[in-house]
Amino acid sequence: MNKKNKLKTSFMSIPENESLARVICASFISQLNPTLEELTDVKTAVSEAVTNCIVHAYENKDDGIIYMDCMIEDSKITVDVKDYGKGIEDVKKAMEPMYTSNPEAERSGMGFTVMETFMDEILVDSIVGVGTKVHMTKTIPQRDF
Amino acid sequence: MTLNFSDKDNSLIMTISGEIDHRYAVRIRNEADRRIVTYPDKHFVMDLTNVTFMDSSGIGVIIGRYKLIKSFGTSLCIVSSNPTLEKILSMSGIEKIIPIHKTLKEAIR
Repeated sequence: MNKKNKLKTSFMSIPENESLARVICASFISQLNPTLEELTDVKTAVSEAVTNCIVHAYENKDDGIIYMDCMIEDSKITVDVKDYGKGIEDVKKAMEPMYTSNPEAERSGMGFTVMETFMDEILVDSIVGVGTKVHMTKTIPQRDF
Repeated sequence: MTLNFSDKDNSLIMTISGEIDHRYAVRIRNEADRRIVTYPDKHFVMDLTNVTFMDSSGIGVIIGRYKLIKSFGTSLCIVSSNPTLEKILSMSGIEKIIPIHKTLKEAIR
């Protein structure tokens, strides 16, 4: 059975919306009957991406807008998280495990590593002064119940 | 997210319930540090049994408390038998420096 579905959302860059984004995305992908582990994987990756927008892109200012688009194509889910914040100067460096641009803030520097580990694919496009888009995909194997 | 503190024998126990993300990380850090500084000689136990979600913000909180507690020369351990947290705890590598127990009874000193 071919499945296709799309969801477009946008919300303010405030910490309260981290859990909102997780819940929205989890609800959307639940139509693929993911396991609890797959659901947690996607929620965790989304949480990291949205937190990056709030903390790094918009530097904890609440007037930024975060765009989260989710798509289902057969058994593949795609989540794009986009901001129009300050951008990342060196994406490769930002994606290194344990790298953090602000050690004083006690961030673990694991955000991108979590996204890479919990999803099948992650692509990051960023332009300084323009914004950042994180593109993530994961295949949810179809099971017979 | 709710936080509770209790003590048993020589252990100070912080029980966290609900979700740990960036939104709640600062509150957990501040509340934990206040107790750790007040009782620096206590063995500190972070009970994550009732945590329903945790991202890397939670790992940042754990590593931060580990550094503080280590500076006092005391010890920290985690309680988690929660499969939801297993993957992120494992990938962070913190189990190499902080003992993770399945039950609170095993964690208390």
